[in-house]
Amino acid sequence: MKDPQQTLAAGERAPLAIEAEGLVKKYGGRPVLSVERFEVREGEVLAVLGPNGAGKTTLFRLLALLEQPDSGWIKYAGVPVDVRSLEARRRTAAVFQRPVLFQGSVEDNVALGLRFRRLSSRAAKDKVRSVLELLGVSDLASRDVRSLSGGELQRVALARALAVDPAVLFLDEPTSSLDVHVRRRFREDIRRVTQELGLTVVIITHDHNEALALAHRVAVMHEGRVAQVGTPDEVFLSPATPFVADFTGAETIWRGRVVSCLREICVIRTSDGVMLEAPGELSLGEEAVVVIRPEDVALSLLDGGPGRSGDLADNSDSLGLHAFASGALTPRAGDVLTPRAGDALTPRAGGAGASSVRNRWKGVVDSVAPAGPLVRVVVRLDGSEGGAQASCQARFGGEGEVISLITRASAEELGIAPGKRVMASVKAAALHVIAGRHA
Amino acid sequence: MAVFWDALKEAVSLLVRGDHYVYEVIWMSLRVAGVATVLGVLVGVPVGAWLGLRKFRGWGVAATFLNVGMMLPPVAVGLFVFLLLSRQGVFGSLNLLYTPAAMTVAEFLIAAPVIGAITMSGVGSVPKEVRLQALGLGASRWQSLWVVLREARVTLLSAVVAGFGAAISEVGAVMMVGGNLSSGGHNLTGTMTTATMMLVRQGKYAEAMAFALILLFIAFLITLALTYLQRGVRRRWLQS
Repeated sequence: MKDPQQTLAAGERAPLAIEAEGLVKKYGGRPVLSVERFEVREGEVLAVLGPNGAGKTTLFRLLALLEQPDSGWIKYAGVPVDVRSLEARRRTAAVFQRPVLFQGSVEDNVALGLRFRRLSSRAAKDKVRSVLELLGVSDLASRDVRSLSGGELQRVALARALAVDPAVLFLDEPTSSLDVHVRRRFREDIRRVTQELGLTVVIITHDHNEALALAHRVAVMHEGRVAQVGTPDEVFLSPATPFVADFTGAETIWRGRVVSCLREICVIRTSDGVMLEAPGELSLGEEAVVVIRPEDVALSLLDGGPGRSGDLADNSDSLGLHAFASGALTPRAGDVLTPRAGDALTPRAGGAGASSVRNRWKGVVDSVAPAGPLVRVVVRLDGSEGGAQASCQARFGGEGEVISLITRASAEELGIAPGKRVMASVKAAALHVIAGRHA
Repeated sequence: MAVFWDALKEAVSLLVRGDHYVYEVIWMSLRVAGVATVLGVLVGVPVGAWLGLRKFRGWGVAATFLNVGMMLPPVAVGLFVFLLLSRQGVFGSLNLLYTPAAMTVAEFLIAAPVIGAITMSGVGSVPKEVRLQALGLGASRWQSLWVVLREARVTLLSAVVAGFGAAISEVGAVMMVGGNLSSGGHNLTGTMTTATMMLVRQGKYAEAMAFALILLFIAFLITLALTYLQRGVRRRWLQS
């Protein structure tokens, strides 16, 4: 298997497979898509990620030359194309969200794209056999499509698209119609096959895990626009907007203002009065949005208990900023603290003991809910001022609270339950700050 | 009841004997209805498919028009064709009134909207994704249209059969523009329906019964063929 990062590096130099500019599409006079620029490089898997109604499917239909944009242009390999460009469209193939199979047998369906291209039936038969084999569904060849299960249907739909040797493969939410256990396997198939064939793939998805699993690059869409394009790491760890942060699973999103800065470490006071330190080039007084992924939040018990911190706590500080001795602040850290920091920032005395973690807040467990193998814990922070009113206004993860994902084992060990007093800690490096005002 | 049995017996014997007039009338019926259905398919399927696939300004009006066409009172159609073809009519100079051609036109006008309307609903009920998926596999416009029609094939078949049924069972319009003429014992423009009507009026129940039996038999054959086709197609899918 190729390393995605290596492929990506190659992709960076690869020529453009698809290029589009100024794409606008309206339905009934209402604009549903407005994309300034969009690029797909040869050999890359590009995920278009976004919620329902973000314009993903519309973008897919325009790029695949199935519908005509109201304005803007599209080029395939540098050549302008539109819905009438049959030869260009024949260099692509599409798999839809709900598998659309035509009446007849699996073979008939898989051969369809080849028949459109007037391939001889002998050549078509060989090709059909080889793609069915590639997807491990040779035994279905003579079956009537109406007798297939959902997973089989989608696999046949993928085989049918691959049969025409597309230069670009479009997948519109290919796994969303499948049951969870089938979905995972089908996703793995997509990954294996596209890597084996070195295909250029545009995959539409609303599932950030799918984007992470498959893509070299991710384009996040929001309200008909592309909010951010980048590698999965860039998009997930450095979201460009609060929306991207929220949609990619960062559950704690606070708005605040920079109150002091020293040596690229700034103190931000959130609208709820929580103080935190974050690295980054920010200017004093600037508004900022703070993003914390739940898996970066460690919990430890404040009073009583085993005194161990949640297993996701990482006590090494990647910034190399050390030393909160129990009960005292280091001079370096002290410089940047505002007068309010004493209570709102970490209760360095007692509790979890010495740690290099910059941001520690006391709070009360609000709720505990299982999330797969993990447990999702909502902690209401002591320092927060706004309380219920502010969190009602918050559009994203509640202000004045922090959300943490810890393993079931550590939740049990710590006895995490609603009402328990805990300390939530986050390394400064794990914070992402989006400068500027965001609605 | 005796009248009924006598008529039935006589009808069977007429058919078995191969009565010249009876067979001419049957052939005329089939020919006129067949040609009208073929013409109806040539016009009705493209129009119906177009309305089923495309939504445009005035679509509602066009679709309503087609649906009303399906409900056209045959007598009104007959009068319409009669006036067009009569000596003072626009096409009067063609001298088509009281010919099989006139009857074919009338039956075509009745069958075409039926075929068109059923095609429209059949094609319209094929999901939009079918056509997009065909395009997404490299189909040309025509190929994608073909795929959609193929998906609607059972409905299309029903449309053809319904059109033929409407044409062959037509009386009023055909009577008006055909006249059920015969000359010297030979049929000129009589069809099974119009001939039956006239024969009943003349008290010739046996011959009327013969035509009624044939019409029933045709209805039976059509139903059988349709059932077989639908099931046969399905069986072939299952076997392949």
